[in-house]
Amino acid sequence: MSDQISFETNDFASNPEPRCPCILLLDVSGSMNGRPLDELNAGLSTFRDDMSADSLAMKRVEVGIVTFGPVKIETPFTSASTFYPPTLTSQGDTPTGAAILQALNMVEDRKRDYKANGVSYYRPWVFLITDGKPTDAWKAAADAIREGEAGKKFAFFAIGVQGADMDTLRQISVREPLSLQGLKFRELFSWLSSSLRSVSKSTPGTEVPLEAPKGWASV
Amino acid sequence: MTWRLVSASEVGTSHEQTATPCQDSCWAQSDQLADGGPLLSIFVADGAGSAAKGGEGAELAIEAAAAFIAKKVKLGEFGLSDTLATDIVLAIRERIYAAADAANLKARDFACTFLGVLSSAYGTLVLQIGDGGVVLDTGNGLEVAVVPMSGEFVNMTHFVTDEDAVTLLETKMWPDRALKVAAFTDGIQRLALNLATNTPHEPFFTPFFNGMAKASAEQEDLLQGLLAKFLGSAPVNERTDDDKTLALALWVA
Repeated sequence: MSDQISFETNDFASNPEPRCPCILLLDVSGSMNGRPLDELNAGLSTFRDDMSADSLAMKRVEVGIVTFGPVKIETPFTSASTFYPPTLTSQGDTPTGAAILQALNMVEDRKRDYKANGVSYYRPWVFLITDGKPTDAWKAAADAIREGEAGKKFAFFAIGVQGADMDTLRQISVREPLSLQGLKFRELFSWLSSSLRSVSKSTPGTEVPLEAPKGWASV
Repeated sequence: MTWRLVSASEVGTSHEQTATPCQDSCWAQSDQLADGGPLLSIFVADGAGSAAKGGEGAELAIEAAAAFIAKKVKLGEFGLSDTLATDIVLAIRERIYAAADAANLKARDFACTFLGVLSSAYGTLVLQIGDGGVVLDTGNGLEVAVVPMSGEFVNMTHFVTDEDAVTLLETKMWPDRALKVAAFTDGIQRLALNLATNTPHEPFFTPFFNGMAKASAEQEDLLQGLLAKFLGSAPVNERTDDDKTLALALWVA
């Protein structure tokens, strides 16, 4: 009589989960004061709530927040599981260019951390939301975005809130900027979290087609 | 004296949810060479999720590679070399391009990865395009053959259908026969390899090679079922929702 054979094991390599980094680049200039900022804050809470319904996304998605102006790292890259949205208050002018460069630096730094620690990752997203016109020099930022997009280093999205200078946004972002309908920040952030959730589960060879922005963007 | 073989592909839970069939394919065989010695051939392929016919591409790749080796074995002596690896890739591409033409599709629609291991008394050859991995022992302990190939981002890799597949092809050779071989697709990669150091996670492999070593002749037929059961088990599915393939060979003297 021979022994039972078993192929059962649960001793697996403990590799870190792949990460899906996303930077929110948020305009908190004076003109966002009042309802726009209240709705933006509510949108961030929605983002957190929607994300927490998905255990895999909670492990994989990382969120960072840069506000402007002045340019400030409001939240350094944080796992979605430990991300508690700050309450943003309105401040000064609109140094969009400097804020973008700050965000792109954070993305490259984060990638370096990942590589140093053997963590695999998805293409980072940078998500700019603004209601104004840049008050600083933004050409260098636009060049950096064009270069990064061409090299597929990250994906940059621009959302204009009512009053935003869409012509300038078009020169900054390679992808067509979208206009937020009214103050539908909550719908916008629901869309963002569901997009991040599908990206963070995609497997090699899968280009994730983004869901059309429904219910918050006007054409 | 030959290799004891077992291989299986199981559908991933994310594919079950969307009713997509398993897009992995695998092959493990031992043939007799002209000099009487055995030749091991193991192939695994993972069809791209983004390709309409990725799963069929993986099947075609395996078929083409197996047919190519069968022909070589029939013709007699051949060397395990870079040239052979390139010829296998070209044979696969020819098969996929023909299928794509016949179906009025593009080769890209059949995109898949491809990993192969060939071993005889004269040495061992590993070839690889894309992610997934081969772990083997030719007498110096388990080692990772080729660093898993992915692009910068985790959801990018290379495919046998890429224009520059022959350039992307990675090969490695050993002067000795492979005593233990495990070839797997990326669904298993994160469980079986320490990705930071590119080393095999030995405890993952131990139960398989131990089980294969002690299986009696009657038990050998059970191995495939045990492997399939493992690949579909809860501990595995908690770690990966992708299709998973594991093909194993153990030299039994």
